[in-house]
Amino acid sequence: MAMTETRPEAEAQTATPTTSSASGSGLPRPATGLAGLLGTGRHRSIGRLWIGTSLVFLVISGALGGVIGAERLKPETYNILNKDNFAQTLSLHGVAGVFLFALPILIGIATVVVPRQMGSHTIAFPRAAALAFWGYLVGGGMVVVSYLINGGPFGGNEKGVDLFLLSLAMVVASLVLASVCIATTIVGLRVKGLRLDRVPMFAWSMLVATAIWIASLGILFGLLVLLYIDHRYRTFVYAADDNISVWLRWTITSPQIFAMAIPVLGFVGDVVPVFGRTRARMHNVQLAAIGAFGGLSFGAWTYLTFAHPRLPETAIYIGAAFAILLPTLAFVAATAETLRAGRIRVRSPLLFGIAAMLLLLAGVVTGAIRVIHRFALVGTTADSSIIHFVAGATAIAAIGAIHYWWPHILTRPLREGLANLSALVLLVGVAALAIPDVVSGFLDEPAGSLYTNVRDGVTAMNAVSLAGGALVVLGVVLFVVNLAVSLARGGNDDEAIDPWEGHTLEWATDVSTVTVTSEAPLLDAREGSA
Amino acid sequence: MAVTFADDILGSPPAAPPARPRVLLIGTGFALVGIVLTFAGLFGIYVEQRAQVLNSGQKWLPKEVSIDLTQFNVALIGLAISVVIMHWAIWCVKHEDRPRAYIGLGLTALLGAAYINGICFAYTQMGFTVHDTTGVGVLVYAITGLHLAMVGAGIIFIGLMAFRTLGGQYSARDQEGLAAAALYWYVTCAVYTVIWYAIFVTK
Repeated sequence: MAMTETRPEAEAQTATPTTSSASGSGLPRPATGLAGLLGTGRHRSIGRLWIGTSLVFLVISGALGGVIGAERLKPETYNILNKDNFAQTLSLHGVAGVFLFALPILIGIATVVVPRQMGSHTIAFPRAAALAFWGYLVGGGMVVVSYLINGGPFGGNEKGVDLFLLSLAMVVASLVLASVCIATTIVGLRVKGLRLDRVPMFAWSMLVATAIWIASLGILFGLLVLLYIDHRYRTFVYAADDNISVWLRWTITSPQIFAMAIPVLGFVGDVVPVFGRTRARMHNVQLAAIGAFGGLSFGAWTYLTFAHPRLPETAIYIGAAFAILLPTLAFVAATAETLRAGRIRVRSPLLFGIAAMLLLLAGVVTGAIRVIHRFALVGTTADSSIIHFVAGATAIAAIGAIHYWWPHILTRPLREGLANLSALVLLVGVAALAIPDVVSGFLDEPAGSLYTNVRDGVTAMNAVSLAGGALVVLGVVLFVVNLAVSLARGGNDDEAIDPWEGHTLEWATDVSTVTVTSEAPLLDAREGSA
Repeated sequence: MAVTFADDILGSPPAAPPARPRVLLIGTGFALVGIVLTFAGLFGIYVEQRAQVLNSGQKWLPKEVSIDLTQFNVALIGLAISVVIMHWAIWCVKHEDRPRAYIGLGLTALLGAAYINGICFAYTQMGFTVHDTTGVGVLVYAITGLHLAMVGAGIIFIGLMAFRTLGGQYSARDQEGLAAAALYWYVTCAVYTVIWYAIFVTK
């Protein structure tokens, strides 16, 4: 059997684009253009594809959120939508926000950054990583199409609903596959000396996150297969159209929603020491906090809520909602201590990181308040506020990560002024989007539907929430403009490879010369040579 | 305007020290976590649905369904034998006994194919339909159908590793890919054991 193809790892090793040429060497010239894109096994290219595509889905989810927000200005009547397509719009807003934007953008950033943080030139299983992206792209596109043909949960077109279940299963399988590649990279491709307790905080958080995602998305995949068979053969024991959203609700409610935000802690843990110009204080506490946060965010055990609607009233559910506060507070305390001990440089990644951490903390606190029985917040817009806090934190951290790791993701740095403004606008926007929903929850506004008997103050809160959404859109637009300007400026011949004086291996120009004896090997090297 | 990314300017990073071994084994382990949880989730629904149906006074299995254990017992024994043979195949590679290793891998794949054939035959005999009111048919076909897919993937995995062994990639020094395929196969057989007991024995 003749081996005629080049393994992606080998391709990545041999590729030195600007200097090496295949001409005259007898080797086939690497594919360029569309063929190169389709066949790429380079982790940076794959990661950029994830990031770019997920940003497109962010726009879709955000636009739908705007429509829902406008509809809620008069919560007792349907003005823009009707009852059915309000539910469908809300459903696509959630599905696109979580499965097509939040998880994929984190996977994309990790695909670019994590191999470098491990000192590896490639991601584990590069072909599988590429396959995962293409599966996500096709599946995600079909999810949107399924809604367009009146499918999805609450859809009137049965074939459209079938398509939704099938395509979401495809997306979920792709996310699991990508997670396997990232987790394996962290466990299996570390350079010598880089023990698991020394890996950068973002990589550690991705290891915890991917483990939780693999487990919980595995359950979701089985569930989607069951629903598909049930719906495809029109049995409707499990997948009657109104029930599909009930089956999927656990994926976007507390505690599972927090699993989406595990890498937020890792990003904060990486940027704070760098911009505090010090070593991370209580490093092991932070590692343990991220691990505990991840473990407690595993919410797949709530997937049988359909059979046990009173599950949120059980002691284990309430206990889990409060327990996740502890690692979050421990992480915040360790971060604050690092900042206190350091000499802070205020740069955009730090602002994004702190904004994301504060919003995540707000989401976790809201999650604990939500389960206090006397407040009766379960099923109200308090549920939506948690999703917005967590999704907002994730989006801000992801945007911050693009600012921080720009030499790996982009061509040129993003403008600091626009970036700082974007961080501030996003923080205020997400807070204004989510906090009114908590108040509306106290005023008994239900999540997911319009209703009569609207109490005083709800309409005003919904207006504030819509204004918050508009600010979020503005913040994202500022980021996109910044991104476009950066990309339009083209090549980068003079910028530093390590613009922030980073501590971890992704900033090393030559990994083979770095000795890893702590969690900050580059800082060790600088201090050793000083 | 052509966009040039940073790595086009910076070039690829220098090659890291050799990767730690067992990447395929680790990746298989992570994938198996997802697969096992897929089945665990479905079994959770199975148990819950069965309890609800029985509590409502209905029978769990429709009256036209008859589950003759013979076919499923044979399938279980076949998979159990395949586990032993797979283990033997790896032992043979470890001891550079390649001809017997190929026989072992081939037999394992063959027993997997026989399992698929046996379960498909059992489908025709059981009388299950997805159109029942209790939802048992949908669950049984979802669980066993996914397991058939898992077995099929296992056969392909074993086949790929067998070809790699044939090409000299695995030897007495390194059997990582075969160990990964074996791990996958063992878990596949373990999942069937649960299916056999939970669905077919307890009915």
